[in-house]
Parts: sequence; C-alpha cells; structure tokens
Amino acid sequence: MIEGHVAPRESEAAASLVGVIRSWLAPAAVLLSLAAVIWARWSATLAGLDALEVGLVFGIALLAVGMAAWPGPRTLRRPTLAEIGLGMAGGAALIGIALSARLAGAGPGISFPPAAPFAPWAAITVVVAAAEELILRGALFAAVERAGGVIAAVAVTSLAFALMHVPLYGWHVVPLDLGVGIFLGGLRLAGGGWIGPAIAHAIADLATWWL
Amino acid sequence: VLRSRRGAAVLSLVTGLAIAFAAAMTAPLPGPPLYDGVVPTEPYLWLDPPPGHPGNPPSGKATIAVKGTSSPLVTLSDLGPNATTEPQAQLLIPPGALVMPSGTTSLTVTITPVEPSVPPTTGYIAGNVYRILITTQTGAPVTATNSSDSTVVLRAPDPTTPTATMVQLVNGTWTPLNTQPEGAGAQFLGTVSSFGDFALQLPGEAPSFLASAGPAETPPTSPTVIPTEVAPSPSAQGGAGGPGIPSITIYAGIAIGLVVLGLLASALLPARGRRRPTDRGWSNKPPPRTRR
Repeated sequence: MIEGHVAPRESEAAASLVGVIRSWLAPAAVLLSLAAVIWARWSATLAGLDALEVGLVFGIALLAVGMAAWPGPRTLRRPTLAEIGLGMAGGAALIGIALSARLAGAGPGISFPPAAPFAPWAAITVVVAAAEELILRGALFAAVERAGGVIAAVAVTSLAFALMHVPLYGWHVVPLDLGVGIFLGGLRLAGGGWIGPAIAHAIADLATWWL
Repeated sequence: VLRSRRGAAVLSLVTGLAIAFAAAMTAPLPGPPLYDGVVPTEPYLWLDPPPGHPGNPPSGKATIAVKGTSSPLVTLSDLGPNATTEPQAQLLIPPGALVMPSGTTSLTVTITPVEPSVPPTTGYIAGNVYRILITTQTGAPVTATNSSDSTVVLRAPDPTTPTATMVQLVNGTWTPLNTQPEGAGAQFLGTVSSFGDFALQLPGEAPSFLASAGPAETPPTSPTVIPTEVAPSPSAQGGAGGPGIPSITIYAGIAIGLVVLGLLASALLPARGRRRPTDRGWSNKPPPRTRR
C-alpha cells in the first residue's frame, strides 16, 4: 500500500520536473543562439574585420535568431500608439540619464562620434537595436514568462542584455546595462510588445552620435 | 505590487531607471550609454607590432589659422579629418584655452607615434607613445591654461581594458594625469596643460606577447597634412553643413521623423483585410452534430 501511495507522488514529481525542464528549453535555446552570435561577432571584431560589415552581419544574425524563436503572431503585431509613445518617452529618458550624468560632472564633457559615416552607421545601429529587442524583449521575454513568470522574464532578459555587451565593452558596463535592461523590460510590460523597447533602444543608440 | 502586470511594469521602469542613473553617475563609463549600437573597434596599429599584430600607425598634422588674440578650437586625431576607422590618439582644445605668444598667426598641431624614451617605473605602457605638439608659425611651443578642459584621448590596444592611467613624460619621468574612461572601445581621456609624449599605463607586468615586439618592417606613414585653415570639428565626420545646423543633423532628423510617421501611420490607419487574432481561416466551433 505504501508503495502504491509513493509511486504516484514520485511520478507526479518527475512529471513536474520534466515539465519545468521542457518549459525552460525554449529560453535556453534562445540564450545559446544569442551567445553563439555574440561569440561570432567578438571573433570577427578581434580578427580585424570591417566594423560596419561586422555590425550588419551581427544585426542580420540577430534578426534570424529572433525570427526563428518567434513565439507567435502577437510578437510581430502592429504597434499601438501607446507602444510608440512609450518607446519615444523611454528613449528620451535614456538620453536624459546620459545628459544628467554629464551635467553632474560624471562625464568628460566632450565626446567624439563613432568613426564611421553617419548613414550606414545609423542604419546598422537601428537594425542591431531592433534585432536585439526582437530577441530579448520579444522571443526570450515571452518564452521565459511562460516558463517562470513576469519577474523571471524581466530578470533573465536584463541579465542577458547586460552580459551580452561585456565582450565588446568590458565588465564595467554591466551595472548600467543591467539597469537599462530592467527599464526596457518595464517598457515591454507597459506596452505589451517589443516595439516600445526597440524604439527606446534605437533612439538611445542613435543619440550617441551627437552626445 | 507584483501581482499585477501593470505593477510589475511600473516597478521595472522605476527600478531600471534608478539603477541606470546610479550607474551612469558612478561607474567609470562617462558619456552617453551605448546599448550595443555599432562601435567600430578597429585593430590597434602598433609602432612596434608584436607577432601577428598590424603596424604602421598613422600620424596627424594640422595647420590652424589664428584670428585675433584668442586661440581657436583645436581638434585633431591621428587619422586626419575623414577618418573611417577609430582613432588611436585624439586632441581636443576648446577656444581660448591655449597660451600663445603675441603675434601668433597660425598653429601647427601634430600627433606622432614615437618610441618610448624611458620605461615607466611601475606597470607597462599599453600601446604606442604619442608625441602631441602645438607650435606657432615660428616654431615656438604653446601650452594650455591650467583651468581649461584641454584633453587628450588615447585608445588602448585591448578593447576590453576597463581602466588605465594616462601618463605624460615630464622631465624624464612618466607622470600620471587625471584620467577618465571615454565611452566604449577602451578610450581614455586625460586633462592636459602642456604637450609632449603621452601614453596609457597599465599596472602589473606586460603581456608575454609584447616581449617579442619589434619595430615595424616599414616606417610609420608620413604625417597626414590637413590643408585646411581650421582643424575639423568632431561633428565634421558626418559632413558639416556650414554655419548653423549641420546637414547631417537635418537629414537624420528627417529620416527619424519619417520612421516615426510610418510607425504612427501603421498604428492609426485602419488595416485592410485585418483579421482578428483568433481568425485562422476556419471556425473554432465544433461541427454541428448530425443524426445518423
């Protein structure tokens, strides 16, 4: 009789464990794909390939991963006015952070724009920003939310966002990008889609040309 | 608060902004935060390239006209005005920040990679030593005012270098300068009041691959002469549009405006043939029962 009671419990526990593992397979696959793309970009950068060409291929690869991990029609639905407004306000907030830090004396007061022609730089920057958001706040966010809930989705995508920048920029960007990742996750929750974070991300990146 | 999606959104927005703001105010990453836009990270060009590393770093030179008694804006990199790659050494001096002899009509600015004359007492020099000089038309040296924001920006060979100290050779000794990280790409900014030899100094022992470094097979390229009276401003890389708003800013504003208009139009205009999310082309209702 005892065995008869224990066996179902064990099987339930095993089934539950299998279910948890299955639910996290999709986020793990997205993260592994993202890591592979980051590693490839870093290798290409170290090899001395043209930065703009590397950036373009990087953006296309990110888009491919994002589309492959596309969880459903809601991910690519039409943007709403609220999302666009939130994205623009979010971009302004991110620019405001940089300006505030500079006015407070944390920055050097001068900066040089990236050493590249503006048009291709801007185009590739927008592609990369949108592709990152398609993956992080689109596919990965939805997958993690299904597996672990909203808080887990914000935490995992923010951590991934911070860590993916380490190879190119170093460990000192982690606190800043972690905060920005959480903020973009908030935009994702507030707007209901990845378009808002993508707009904010692109605006903040483009502003670096002038700031 | 976390029970509702809206609460989680508000909490994330507030928390994220607070962390980002605190990080921007305290972390050694001045300037605008980069969230992985395209930052050209070019391979470092060594004056004495280690095996497998490129050499022949360029030099920069500019002749700048002086109008009146106040010094003009001075900006120059080792790559000249139309750089398509990332500079390794840059100089920026705001107007009025130079101490010039009377009668100065022009300034000659040079940035040249040179062999280090003496090693640092601690640590090692990361990358090239750059000799940055400003002289008048008669060859007299020019200095900067102590209170100015005259700055030198040097790039470290390793793009992941988090911190470094800019040093200046003063009376045969490498003297540390007030150094700050300058954005991404391992660039570091030092405030200067005089000119001469500058380098980045890192603590510890030099990496082993530097031990076998030697002079480049061919000499460094000749200085890039900029045949303009005024050195290019930082924003000139995108193409300045003369006085007023640079044309690149206008074009960028138009492009960004078009994108925003497109997004707004996409959100506002009614879609033709739009289907409801649940409309998959067939009915979700079960088929009606039929009597047999």
